[in-house]
Amino acid sequence: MSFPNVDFALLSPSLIVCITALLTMLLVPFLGEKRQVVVAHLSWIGLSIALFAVSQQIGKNATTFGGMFLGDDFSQFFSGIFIVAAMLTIFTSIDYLRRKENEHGEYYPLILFATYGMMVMASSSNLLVIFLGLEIMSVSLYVLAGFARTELKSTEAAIKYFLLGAFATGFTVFGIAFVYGVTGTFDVAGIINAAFGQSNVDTFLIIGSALLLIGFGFKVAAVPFHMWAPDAYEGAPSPITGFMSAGPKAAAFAAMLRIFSVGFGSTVPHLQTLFWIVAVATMTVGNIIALRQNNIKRMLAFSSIAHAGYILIALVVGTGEASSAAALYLLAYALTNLGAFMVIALVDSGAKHDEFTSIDTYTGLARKRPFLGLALTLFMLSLAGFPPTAGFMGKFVLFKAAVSQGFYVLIVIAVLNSLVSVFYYLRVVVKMFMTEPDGQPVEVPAVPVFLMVALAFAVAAVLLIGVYPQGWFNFAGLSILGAN
Amino acid sequence: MELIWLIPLVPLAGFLLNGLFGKSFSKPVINTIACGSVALSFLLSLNAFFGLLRLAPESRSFEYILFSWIPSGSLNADVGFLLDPLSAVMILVVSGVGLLIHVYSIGYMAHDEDYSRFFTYMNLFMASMLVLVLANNFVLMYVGWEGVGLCSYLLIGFWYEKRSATDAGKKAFIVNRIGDFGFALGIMLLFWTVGSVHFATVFNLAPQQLAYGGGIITAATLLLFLGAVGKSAQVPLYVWLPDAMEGPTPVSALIHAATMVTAGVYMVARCNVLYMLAPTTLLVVAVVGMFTAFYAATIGLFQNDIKRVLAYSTISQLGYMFVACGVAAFGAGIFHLMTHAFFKALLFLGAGSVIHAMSGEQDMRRMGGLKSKLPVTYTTMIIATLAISGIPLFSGFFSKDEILWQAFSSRFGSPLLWVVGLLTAGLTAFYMFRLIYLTFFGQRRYDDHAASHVHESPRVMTVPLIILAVLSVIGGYVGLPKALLGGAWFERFLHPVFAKGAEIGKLAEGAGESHATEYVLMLAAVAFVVLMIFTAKRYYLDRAKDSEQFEHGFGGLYKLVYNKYYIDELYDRVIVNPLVKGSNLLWQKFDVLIIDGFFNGAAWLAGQWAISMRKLQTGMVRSYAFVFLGGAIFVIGYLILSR
Repeated sequence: MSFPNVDFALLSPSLIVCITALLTMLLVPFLGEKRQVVVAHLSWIGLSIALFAVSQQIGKNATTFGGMFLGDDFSQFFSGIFIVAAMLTIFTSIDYLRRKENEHGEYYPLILFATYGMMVMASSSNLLVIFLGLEIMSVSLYVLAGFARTELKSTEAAIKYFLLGAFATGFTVFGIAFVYGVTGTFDVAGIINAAFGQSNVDTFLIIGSALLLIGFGFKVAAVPFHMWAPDAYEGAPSPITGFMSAGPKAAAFAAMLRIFSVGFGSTVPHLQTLFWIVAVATMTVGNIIALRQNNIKRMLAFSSIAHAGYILIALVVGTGEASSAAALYLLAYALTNLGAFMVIALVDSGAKHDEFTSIDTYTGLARKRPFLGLALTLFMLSLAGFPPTAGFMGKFVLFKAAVSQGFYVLIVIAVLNSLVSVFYYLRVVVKMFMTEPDGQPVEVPAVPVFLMVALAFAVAAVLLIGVYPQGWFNFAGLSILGAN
Repeated sequence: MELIWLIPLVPLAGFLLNGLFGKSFSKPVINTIACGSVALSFLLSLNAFFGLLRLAPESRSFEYILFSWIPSGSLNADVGFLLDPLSAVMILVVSGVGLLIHVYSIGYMAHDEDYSRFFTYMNLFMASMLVLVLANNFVLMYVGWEGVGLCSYLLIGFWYEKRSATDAGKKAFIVNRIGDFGFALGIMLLFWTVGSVHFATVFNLAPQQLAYGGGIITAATLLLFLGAVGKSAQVPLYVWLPDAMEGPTPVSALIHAATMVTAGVYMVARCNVLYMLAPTTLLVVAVVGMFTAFYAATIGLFQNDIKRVLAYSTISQLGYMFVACGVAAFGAGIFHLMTHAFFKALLFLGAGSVIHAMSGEQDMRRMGGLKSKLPVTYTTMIIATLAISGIPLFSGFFSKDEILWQAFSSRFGSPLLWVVGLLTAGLTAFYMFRLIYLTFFGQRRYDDHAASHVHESPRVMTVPLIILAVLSVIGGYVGLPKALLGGAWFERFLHPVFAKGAEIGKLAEGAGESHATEYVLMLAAVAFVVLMIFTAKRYYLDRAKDSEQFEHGFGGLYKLVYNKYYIDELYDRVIVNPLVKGSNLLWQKFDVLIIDGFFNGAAWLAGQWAISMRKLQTGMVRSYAFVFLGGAIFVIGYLILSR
């Protein structure tokens, strides 16, 4: 048996992440209880090497493993998002875990495994490989969501996430099976070839694509498959909530963009209309329920649902411009949300249990800690889509892509939704700046060094994308050309 | 020259540093950041200027695109900077005078509690102003335009505990909105008709695409000019500038005399190609400028607040600059802009020094005899006064004379403009010397308590005065006219910027007219100015006791002028009050009942909806799965049934 011809350079980013994960996992038992933090440092070092590896692969647009692994710019762009998200999460977690007295080294390899899974998801157009990545990611996340074992809410989050996730996985697997049954291939391009031009689309292909939509709809928390998100987001440790809203969401969308925007969109009739309905339902339900939330993590869970609704617009439109706009949107959203959760995790870590996640905790925060207040305000403005932030640019390019294809009603609904969302984002700002705390204001810990670095990075990135979107947009645009 | 993008960026960095951490910095650190950043800008500007000089005159235009900022369909705006002779002069004046005023402020603001906030705003102003003059397109210029407006508002209302200061800030902001609205409309009209906001592109395409003297170009230039009228305080939008004197004096010197208020002149000069295409607008510019110059000078005659006299003088001098633009002598306008920046900044800083010495007193009737107490302030202010009055050998003489000569001789000029300009020059000399005599000469009119505090300002304040005084003397020699054996170097330097406009206006370069007329006019102007100075001397120095009698001798005219033609009252009656009443009505009837009702209703509805939807979120996994399944059935069913 001869060794297959594998392009290891192309695989290097994901391999580095995977190997770091394995090595650190093995290292955990050998470190004493006091030295678990070593794992964190090894992890982010490994991730930064992987990020460097990604930068080296940009522009190659090659494939390996017989076309099952794609190293195009699309996957490099998303790999970059995942790695940065993982690094920022680790920086946020170091002090958080210590304060919560939950320093277990396994936490970091799990993040790495999840990251590895996401990278696999974004680097293939083969349904089976995508599924493989999806499961690697999901299983790691189930554990991470319940990582605060002693907290009831965290355990509850993990169980709910797992049960419903398993439920959804069933749909995904069946979807892949049906599609394979009809077309005889797992590859998206092959599927289109087999189905395209047929006067009568096979019913099982339609069912298969519907099942895939449901499975991925669950992962991005699209309505009505979103019910897990608020509970999982609220219960998971705060840094993990940030991570879940940034990385896995982007990964699921990356896979969806590959499968639906290039593949099924043109073959299955009325898929576009269905996406239209799902997008509108998702943004509206997310925003409306978010209005009445008093827990900031839960509010941001609904906000995350709403944002999934906006991004689904790219799948309705289905053009290359819309896909690259979605990629930019996901980058902007990931950085903004990670930044917001840095502040949330810091405030949260002021108490051993999770009593510091209500929005009332933030009353008067900006008066005592103006920098934290300003940072969180910036992130809230970015989520609401105010210029000159990344969130504004994301919305701008995405909505523009839709308008250029004539989706006026959809964009009017989306803009109205953004208006509604301003209310609950600014509520936090108002609490921080304009409300006097009733009694003793909450004691927020000092910002540790790593979190400071991460926070500065997030603030700078959100502003940079806001005032200088062109470079990012070009990169996101290139990445889609590679996918087509 | 590749470094020009740093020129506005350095003060911006200073703004960020002092703005974010200023509260915890000590004063020396704040000073170093604030003044150091402006100094660095000034050095970079010098470097850019000399870089430009090394090039051949016709290739002295350099664009540096930092990044593409708004790439949206056909609207393309870059964060890009344009360095040409015009912007080079502007950045030198802005950063140079700005630097001196920053240094002066160290002394002037030394006892203020909000020290860091002051310098934060000042640096932000510098950054905005430099963006304004360096921008290579209308949109970025607009950013700077609004930025300086914001800083002006913030700095006028710097002492926000004072009601009058916050009111003045608001007045400045609101009046400027009117002008800015016109400016924005003008930009949009240009973009709509020419299809670009990039200066070079617009100036290239406009002569081809828009008819000479046509409706569109006239409308566009008039709208742009409306912006200039607001920002540069011309009739009828000048009312904010006198009130703006509520701000700290260095602010008045920097923003409301030397730099920001000249932005309108700069903009008109920058758009000279467009203005040359619209002769009607040129006429409007010249007439508005001349009227403002004369009108403001008459108000300045009998004001008693030292800063108000200077404020009206500024309005009047800005009028001169517009006259120059209106008669297509853009170079002369910019020349006067520069010399005016020197001597007017000096006058304000000198006035600040006086006010500082008098523990905040601004009424000249309670000053007098300060000459010996404040020798440096006195000497430098005398120099500035001679300059602004147009006494030969001082800078103002050359620039003002150039404008008067152009108003008389230009294709777009008229002897009438010259006559009014001459009268204004006389009035200027009168009120400026009135100021000098009241402040520095005669008997002291302040009480003993104030007398015990009178002192010359510290070195940090007097050194900038001395430097500005030197500039007020020699600043004019760069533009020595040919009639006085000079080479008109300044205008030749600027000429490439205005060449295209001159071509359109068919302005013959260096008309072969004899210098005889020019000498006669010059002599007449100087004679009249000297006469007016002696008049001032007679009534405010020699017969100081009779000065009140002299002023009241003018009867109704005196009252009219003293009360500034009752324009503020008129505006209040005709515009402000009806507006307030009307908006109150709208607010109480329309807003509260209908709009608020609608939105509160919508919010209530959304809230109710949220409550009912939240009930679906039971927390039970089973019900979640049930909803999920329902959705799945819908998705599959929809796709199958709709095929």
